[in-house]
Amino acid sequence: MSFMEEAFKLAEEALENNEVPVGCVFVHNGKIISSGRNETNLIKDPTAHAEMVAIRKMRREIPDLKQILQESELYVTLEPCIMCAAGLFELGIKKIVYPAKNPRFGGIESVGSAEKYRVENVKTEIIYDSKYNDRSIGLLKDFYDRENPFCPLDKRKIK
Amino acid sequence: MKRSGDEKLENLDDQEPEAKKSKENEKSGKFGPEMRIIPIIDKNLFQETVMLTKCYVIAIQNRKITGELLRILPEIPSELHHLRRVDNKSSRILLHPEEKAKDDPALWSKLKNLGVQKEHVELIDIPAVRPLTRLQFDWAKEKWATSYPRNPELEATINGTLFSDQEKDQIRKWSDRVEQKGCIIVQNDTAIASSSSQPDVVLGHSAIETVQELAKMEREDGSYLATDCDVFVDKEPCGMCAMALVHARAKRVFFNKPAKNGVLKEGPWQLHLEPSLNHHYAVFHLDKTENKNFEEKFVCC
Repeated sequence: MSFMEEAFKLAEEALENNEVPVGCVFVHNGKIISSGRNETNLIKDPTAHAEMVAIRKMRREIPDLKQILQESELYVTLEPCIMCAAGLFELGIKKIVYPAKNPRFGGIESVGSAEKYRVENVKTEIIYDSKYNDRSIGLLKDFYDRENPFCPLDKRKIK
Repeated sequence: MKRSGDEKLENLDDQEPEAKKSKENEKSGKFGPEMRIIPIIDKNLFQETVMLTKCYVIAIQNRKITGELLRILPEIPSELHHLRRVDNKSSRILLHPEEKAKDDPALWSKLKNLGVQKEHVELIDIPAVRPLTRLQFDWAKEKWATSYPRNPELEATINGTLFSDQEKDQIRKWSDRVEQKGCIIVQNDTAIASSSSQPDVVLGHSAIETVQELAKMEREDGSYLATDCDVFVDKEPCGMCAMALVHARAKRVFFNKPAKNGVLKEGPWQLHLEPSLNHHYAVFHLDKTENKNFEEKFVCC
């Protein structure tokens, strides 16, 4: 199963749990070293996005995490938000792969960018993998139950 | 021996009178040296004028036909909806923007029936955008009757009258405390969550860590995240921390020191002014004399 498929499995798990359906895996030397899905409602933490969840797991488990992350790739089912993207650029992660843009708060290119965050010497490779675009948007549509998957968060139902 | 030693000390003091005096002045103030609370708002809000655009208008000769005119005139395009159709002061009515064809024969035959002549039509400058402040409104309404969103808080922010002396003292207190702490979230002048930066922890910046602390709190009053809360940070937040505070729905963010990787201070991109975001907090720079020499050397952490 591809790394993006693994990320989608987590996004679907998020959807089943009434969370924003986004999932991700971190890959180092061809192996998944951490994974996460959105759990903002579960732990009432608005920063518990898939990427942050995965990084926080590694913080406990991997001692030289900064170095490892600079050699790692992130596969995530939606463009990371400004918060996550700024963090990933600061860490200097090797590569970020995502299949759908987020026009409301996408932090890689849609709204934010490394330049806007004043992060210098960014070497992160960005891959936009449109093959999974429909699947990503479809999940979000299922979640928001509306035509526009990027409707404001404050208008969504919070359980 | 003792006496001569005292004299020596006094002489030393005399050699650096300025430094010593300024230190004493700092101590004498209620909360130390002066602090300016600088709102960081859209630069356009400080403008005294608004952009203009050209529009054809009809000088009304007979006020009794105004109602008839309103019925037959084409609709005003949505980008000019801030304008009133009729400028009562000058007895003129909006016809259409300059770029629209002036000669619509069907319309003109109706206008002529109402006694409107081509010489009653003028091309004039009118406000192209909605005024955002009282000052802009007062300027714009001289050009054409215009609406504007009354926003007392914004006016007070611009005029520097937003905070009472008591609030200023409270802000000063939290500003001083956060220098030791990194980030403090304050509700009703009470700290409800705080965190220092954790340099050994990956992405352990104080502000995003404090939002996680807040998430763990039991909130008896039923408040949601940092809604109605002031967030004090020692260093200007980076993109990650500033967005974490958006996700937390912070009401206001106060920072002591501008940071190299900060995204709130005046610059090419300011996160809290980004229109596509679904929440916007107010931002203030607490400019204290003692921090003057360190501008922009800091990073959010």
